[in-house]
Amino acid sequence: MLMLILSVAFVLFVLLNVLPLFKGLGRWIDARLPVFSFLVEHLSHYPAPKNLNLWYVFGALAIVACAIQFVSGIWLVMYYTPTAEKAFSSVQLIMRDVPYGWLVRYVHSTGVSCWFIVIYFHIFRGLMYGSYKAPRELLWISGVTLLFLMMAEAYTGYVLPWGQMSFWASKVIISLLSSIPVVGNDLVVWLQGDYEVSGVTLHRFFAFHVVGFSFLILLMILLHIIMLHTVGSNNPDGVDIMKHKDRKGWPLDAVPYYPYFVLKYIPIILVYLFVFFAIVFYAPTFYGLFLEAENFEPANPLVTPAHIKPAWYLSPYYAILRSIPDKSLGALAMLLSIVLWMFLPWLDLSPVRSMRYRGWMSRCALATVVSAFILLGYLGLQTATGWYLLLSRVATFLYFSFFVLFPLITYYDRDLQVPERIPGV
Amino acid sequence: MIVICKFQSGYREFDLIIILLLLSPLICFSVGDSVVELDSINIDLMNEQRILQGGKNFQQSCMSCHSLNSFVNDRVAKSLDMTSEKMPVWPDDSWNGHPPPDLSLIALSMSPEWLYTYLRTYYVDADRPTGYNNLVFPNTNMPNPFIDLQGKQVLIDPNFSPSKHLGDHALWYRVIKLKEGGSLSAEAFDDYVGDIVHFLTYVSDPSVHERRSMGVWVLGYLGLFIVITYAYFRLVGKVFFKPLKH
Ligand code: HEC
Ligand code: HEM
Repeated sequence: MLMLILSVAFVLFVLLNVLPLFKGLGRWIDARLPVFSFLVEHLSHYPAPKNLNLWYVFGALAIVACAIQFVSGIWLVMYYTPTAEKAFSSVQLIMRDVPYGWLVRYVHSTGVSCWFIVIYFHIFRGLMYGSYKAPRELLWISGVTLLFLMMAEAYTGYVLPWGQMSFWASKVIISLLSSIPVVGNDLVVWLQGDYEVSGVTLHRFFAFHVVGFSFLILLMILLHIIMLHTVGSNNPDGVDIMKHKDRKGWPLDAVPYYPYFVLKYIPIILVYLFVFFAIVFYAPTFYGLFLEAENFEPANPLVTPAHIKPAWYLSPYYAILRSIPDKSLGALAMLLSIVLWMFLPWLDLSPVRSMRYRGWMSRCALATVVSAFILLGYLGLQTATGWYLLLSRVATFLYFSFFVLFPLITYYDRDLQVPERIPGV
Repeated sequence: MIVICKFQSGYREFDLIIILLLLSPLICFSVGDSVVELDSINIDLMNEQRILQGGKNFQQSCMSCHSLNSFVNDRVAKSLDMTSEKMPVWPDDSWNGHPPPDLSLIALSMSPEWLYTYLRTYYVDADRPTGYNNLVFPNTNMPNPFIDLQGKQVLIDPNFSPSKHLGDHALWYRVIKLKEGGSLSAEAFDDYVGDIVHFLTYVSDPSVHERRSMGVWVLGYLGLFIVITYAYFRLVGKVFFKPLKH
């Protein structure tokens, strides 16, 4: 099946070069359904700063990763049964008795982790080049919303195989909602559809996962791209390319996205797929990180696992939750650890965008918050005792102090003058 | 605050990433709370013979208690004649509430190393109802399945107790020793258990053969594709794109 897809891709690639021969047909369709002029408008008429580097491939990769999830997800839904009795065994049915079911399932489970890796790099790029600063504030907020939706999608999906960790992790997270004042307990019962996490909850999460959050993600990606194409791409130097245009209104420092960057990025996307499939075929559990050992045991409400932990991509937030002794405050901190990013455009008082032109204080601030995040991710997977607990408190403190100190740091930091035009290249 | 500076090209990202690497002290390693160090076992899933032999050993030593319900439709299960009718079924309240679990996924939910060590570290303990205890899974409810094959192992230090030595990571053969040999020699017994572990590892994910052979093709194809597209775009870029740049 995969070979088929790849061959079709190759044939398409060849066809693409013969396609100009069919111009007449193209014009006929375009007059009725403007697909081609849409593509032209958003690919070959999109002015991309000429210095876009490798970091700018992650947006495209995020779309690829999203597509992989949708395609493999549809196949999984055909065989998966969302009931407490059948869920676990239906996944085993997919893995063993459905032809190529193992491939579809491993693609889907590896896909989540790879999507999160891509997104974390995508966000880091934004932080590094100040892509969140005016006029891209709403683009940035739509991005943080996407991160939020992805977390919700991943969390509801994680429950579906109905293994030990599915069950207990969902129980821990749902119970956090009960700390919301007044409506908390009712909300929990309403979400669970029951007084305990049960088969009813599983069925609800199935609905949220398959048609709820997934469609919100599609919608939000669409808005994300619309906003991007309204304000234009930032670039590694943070130079505003719209200031200098030629007589036709084309920015002097821009090249059309197609063919320049499309062609440059296609081999890179293939490298991504290469790494992705290497994991799928040769290390699908990825040493217990992409598919956790505990989740190969069926859910058992009577046996609490010794050590409840989330999937790796959610572990930083979980570490923040655990580092705070009070449960409701912990839940609040966990929420804030993402929501605060939405305010970043207004917390950054620096007149320059890119870290390339910022002083050492801003650079250290960014490095610190990212390191704290990575450290929290590691600690979230360990038991919260002794040194680990202490470390996670330090990391949580560092993480939040970023938001407090960043305005001061960016105000007083000694930044460099940004050139008028994109230098070099 | 802007400092006018002649150094117009700005900094590069490399130093940022280096600071980042220095600041993330990911050198910590996790410490489990096991009593003994797990033995390593080199699992070779291409060794069909070992998997089949392990399946026979499993039928002989384990299938009276443990089922492999997810496995029965597999090619290997068919050749070993493991059918769903032959799988034992236990009510939830049998065995004092700890009935023998299904082992279809045990090599993934524990690990091959864990299985290999667990099955070989039973020792005589008069305090246990079965007369045996285990170093890897203290106070397990599973009776020692290998009294005949392995023989009797006893504690070297009679005062040893797993709860006191949690987190010791001792080597198990420093803690227990063989007192009375069984019908198999020590090496033959290790092979016998090793075969079972091979078998159970295969059972946990039978896609492995198909995965590996398909992987070669897919990755090879992608690799070829990478080279072709890269070369093509470099070529096209040289001929057509350069003059466009401002
Ligand atoms: C006489 C019945 C019996 C036989 C024979 C037997 N087991 Fe068990 N086994 C049990 C019981 C009962 C348990 C549950 C132990 C507990 O929960 O404490 C168990 C538990 C286990 C576990 C631990 C599962 C877990 O979730 O931790 C493994 C692994 C295991 N058996 C493997 C084997 C293997 C391999 C064999 C064959 C060499 C075997 N057993 C033979 C009764 C048996
Ligand atoms: C499903 C998830 C996402 C998809 C599919 C997606 C897609 C894209 C694409 C295709 C681009 C243009 C190419 C590029 O600049 O890389 C882009 C740009 C951008 N994205 Fe995302 N994105 C996602 C999530 C996010 C998140 C989580 C954030 C931030 C929290 C974010 C912030 C941005 C910003 C600021 C830009 C503009 C970057 C610039 O011009 O320098 N995106 N996104």
